[in-house]
Parts: sequence; C-alpha cells; structure tokens
Amino acid sequence: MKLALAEMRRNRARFGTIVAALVLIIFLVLVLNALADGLYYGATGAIRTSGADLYVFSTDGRRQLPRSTLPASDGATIATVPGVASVGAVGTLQGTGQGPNGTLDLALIGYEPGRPGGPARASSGRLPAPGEPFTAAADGSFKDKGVKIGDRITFSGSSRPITIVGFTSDSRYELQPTLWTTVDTWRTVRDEARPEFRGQEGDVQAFAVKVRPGASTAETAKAIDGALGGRTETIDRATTVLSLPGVKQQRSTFNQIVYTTFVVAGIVIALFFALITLEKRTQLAILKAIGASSRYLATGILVQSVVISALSLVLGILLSRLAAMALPSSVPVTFRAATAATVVVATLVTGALGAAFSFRRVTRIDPASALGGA
Amino acid sequence: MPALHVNNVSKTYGSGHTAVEALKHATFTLGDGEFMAMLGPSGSGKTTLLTIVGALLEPTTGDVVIGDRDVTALGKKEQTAFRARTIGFVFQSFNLVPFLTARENLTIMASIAKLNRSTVEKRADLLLDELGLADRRANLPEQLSGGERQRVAIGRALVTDPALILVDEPTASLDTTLGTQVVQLLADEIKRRGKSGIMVTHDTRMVGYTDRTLSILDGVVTEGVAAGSH
Repeated sequence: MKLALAEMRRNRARFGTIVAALVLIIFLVLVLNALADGLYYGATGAIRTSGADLYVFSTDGRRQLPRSTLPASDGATIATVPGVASVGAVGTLQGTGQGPNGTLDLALIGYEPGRPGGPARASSGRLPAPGEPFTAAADGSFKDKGVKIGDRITFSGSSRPITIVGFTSDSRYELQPTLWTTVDTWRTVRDEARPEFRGQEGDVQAFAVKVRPGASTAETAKAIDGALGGRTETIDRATTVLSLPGVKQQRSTFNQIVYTTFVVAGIVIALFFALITLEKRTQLAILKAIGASSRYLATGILVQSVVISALSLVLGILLSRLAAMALPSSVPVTFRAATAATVVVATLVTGALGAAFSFRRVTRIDPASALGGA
Repeated sequence: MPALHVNNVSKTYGSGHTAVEALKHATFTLGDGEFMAMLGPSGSGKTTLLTIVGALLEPTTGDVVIGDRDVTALGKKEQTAFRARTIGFVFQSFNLVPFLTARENLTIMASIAKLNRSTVEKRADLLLDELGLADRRANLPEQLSGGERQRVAIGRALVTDPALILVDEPTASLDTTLGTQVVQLLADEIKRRGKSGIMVTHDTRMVGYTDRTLSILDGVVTEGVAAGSH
C-alpha cells in the first residue's frame, strides 16, 4: 500500500492522465443522469407526489389520463370497496394560456384538494378549497415565468380567468407548468376549450385511490375493477408513472447510455493498469524475487484504482455542479444525492473490476526472471 | 551448521531430444560466514544455480538446504515468504524501485517481508551510513550514480538481516574501478555482519575479495578457479 501510494505520488503526470480521463467520464455520467432525472421528475411530479397508491382508468384509456374517461359517480362505488381509504377524481387538460407576461404552455389538472390525486399542501400561499371555483395552485415553474400569487391566467378558448392562490413543488405534469384546480373548474374550462367533449355531464378522467394501511394494493386494485364491472383498469402509482408518454422509453435510453459509459470507464481503467503492469514487468519480477507476494502487489493495484476513482469522483462531481450553474434554467436538470451515491459506488466497483484484470498478469510474472541478463 | 548445502542438484530445461541440461549434479556446501565466488562464462549454468539456491526455481532433481530448511520442499507461497526474510538479493543492473528514494528502497522491505518497521528503519539508516550514502538517502535512483545505486541495492539486500546473500554479476553495469569498490564494500558488509554469501561473476579479478571460489562450466561445478571458466 505504501509502495502503491508512493508510486502515484512520484508519477503524478501518468496517474493524472488517467484521473483526467475518468473525471470526464464521470462528468458525462453525472450530467446525463441529471438530465434523465430532470426529465423524469419534471414529467412525473403530478403522479409521483399525488398521494395516491392506485389509479383507476377506463379500460379503453390504456393507462393514460387524457384517453381515459369515467363517470364521476364511480367515485362513490370505489369508496365502498374494502381496502380503499379515500378516493379523488382527476382530470387533465394541456394547452396554452394567457398569463400576466403573455402566452405560456401549461397543463390544467382538476383534482379534489384534500383527497388523493394532487398536491396535499402548498409550498407558499394555499391550495384551492374543495369546490372553490376558478382558483388554482401553480407549480413552482410558474415562478420562473414571473407569475405571482394573485395573478390571473386564462386558458386559451376559455372565457374566465383562473386566479393563482398558491404554489406547489414537484408537481409538474409532462414537463409543463401545471395549474392545480378543482374538478368542476377543470370540466368547465375543458368544455369551453374543447367543444368536442361537451355533453359528457359529470365525467372525470380517472380516480386516484389511497389504500388503507395494511391493505394489499394489488388486492384492492382487483376489488375496485370487480366492483366497477370490469370497465376499469386499476394500476399502482409506479406503473402509472411509467405509463406516462415517453417516460419509460426515456428512462431506458438514458440508462443504456449510462451503462455503456460505465463499461467504457471500466475498459479505460483496465487498459491503463494492463499497460503500466506490462511496463513494470521487470520491476515486479524484482519485487517478487525479493519476497513481495502476488497478493501484496495486487493489493497495491487495487489501492491505486480506489484512489484514482475517488479522486476522479470528487473532481467529476465538482465539475458537474459548476456546469449545472452555467446551464440555463430552461434545461431540466436535477442533481440528486441518491443518483450521485449510485455513481460513486458504480465507479469504485468498475475501477476495482478494471484493475482486477491485471491481477492474473501480476500473478504470472516469474520472479526467476529477475536474475540473469537484464 | 553450514549456511547452505546443495545436494546433487540437476536442472534440465525442455524434454526429449530438445532437452538442455543446464546443471549437472551440483554438490557443494557453503560454510557459515563464508563468502564464495561462483566463476563461469555466460551460459555455464551459474545463473540457473543461483536461481535454484535463491528458491526462485525448482531443480529437476536434488535438494537445497538453507540453514535447517529444505527450500525445495517449500510451496510457492512459503518460498516467497522465505526469500523475503532469509535471502538478500543483489541483482545485475541495480534494479531499485525507481519511484522510491534511496532510504525508501531499504525501508519498503519492512512491508514486503512483514518485519518491524522501526527495526528496519534503524538498520536502514545504519547501512546507508556504512555504505557512504548518508547524504543521498532522500535521492531517487535516477539522481544517483551507477556505483551509488549498486550500494543502495547492497543495502536493500542486507536490511532484512538475511542469513544468505546472493549476488548476481554485481559489476556488470559498472566500470572496473567502481566495480572493484562495490565488491570490496559488499565483502566488508558481509564479513562485518557474519553473513554467508555467493557472488556469481565472470570476472576473475573479483575472486580476490572472496574466501573461496567455485567454477562452473557447462553445468558442472568444480572447486577452485578452473581453466576455461573465465
């Protein structure tokens, strides 16, 4: 270990090169992860933080809110199913709106404040009261667009403005600034903005269900579908999140890129140690001849790999945070400690595996080659 | 008890009609505190003999006893540990660890041979003084002259306080004056510490610094300076 560390200290240029390469790879992984997380969290907040354990869709809705439609009266039926603690109706509408600073893209979601299906509390201001018409809580991204409490936003095609009464956090739907209003307001706006939906008196898109503590989520889902005569498909929240358009595909694409990058990192480290082991053949034979065991020398390589990985992680994380400051706020990036922790562990493991490729070579060096013509 | 007993050791490389007999029934004893030269031209088998005596190579037949241990009976791992503590090697071309200072090249033996660090450090400082390297201890090998490097290598071989010192052509990379000085120093250190040693060389002028000479020619070991062995 002393030998391994001294080697790094006295060969800074050489070990600096591999650290630099690894820093860039880690930086790439972290930024990719931040983008992936930013997209994922921005797209799924409305479902993830809704407080619901289950979502009830119409079978023809194919697990997507805009395609699903159910009579509001189903809510009462669902509430009587054993295992259901509470139930709330949900409806979504995507489009544009007129705000104080001009036109903006937005999503309008109707829910029943106090019930599952939407934010349970406001981060500032308040939520609309149950049944309170034409008021909404806006998700935090509206603040970036200069919207304040008391401002009014009119959904395009609707005649009545909606007043902002508060802000919520991590509650965006499909990466769009999202307004949380009551189901009745949502339906009124929807009927004005989308005339083709008119005449469906008292419909909602889906129901969000909170399951009683101790009750089985899967059993309750089956019971709900049974109680509604098979017209519905009830799935848990995680499945609903992954059913959002593009979310699953985005996740798997980003994951593939990140896995590939780790494989590259592993190969880079493996090649580096293979190269320096090859270069040091004579020196390693001498060390073995004078009594260094293969285990002693392999441990040294492992120690070096851990130091290289650790150093690269520190610098890579710093670099990615600096880059994040330079990114415009419109780019959805989220740096999560959990993701960073995963990257740290994965890098250390990858580094160790890469280094381990040279263990066999070290073991096979013949100490007898130290003697005789050099 | 003799320091080393080599009993009927033969080594054959390869097999069948391509077999090469590098060593033929070598038998000799090295007395305790004796410093012996092993004289022979290149290809005579002297390096093979040194490699077998140093527990780095298995003989085809015969056995090697160092102190009271039959090293040919040891497993690979035991041989490694045995080498670390019992044998001091001085190689042909210095072969110091390039990124360690003169002193560190000695003290690293504490972790390689798993010896008490402060004992090894004390011994290292004493050796560096005796070898005239007191003011070079913080220098890297690349900052040392050839003679200084070989003196560091001698220090490394002695720092573990081994019973047996094996020296492989110590003057191969040095000019005559420096070579003579280094061998003189080596002989002094071995004598002063009461060690036993074998020095392999093809240079008859170095024979004067040893107690005894064996010659080796075509794998056959004979006592004294044999004709044609240099």
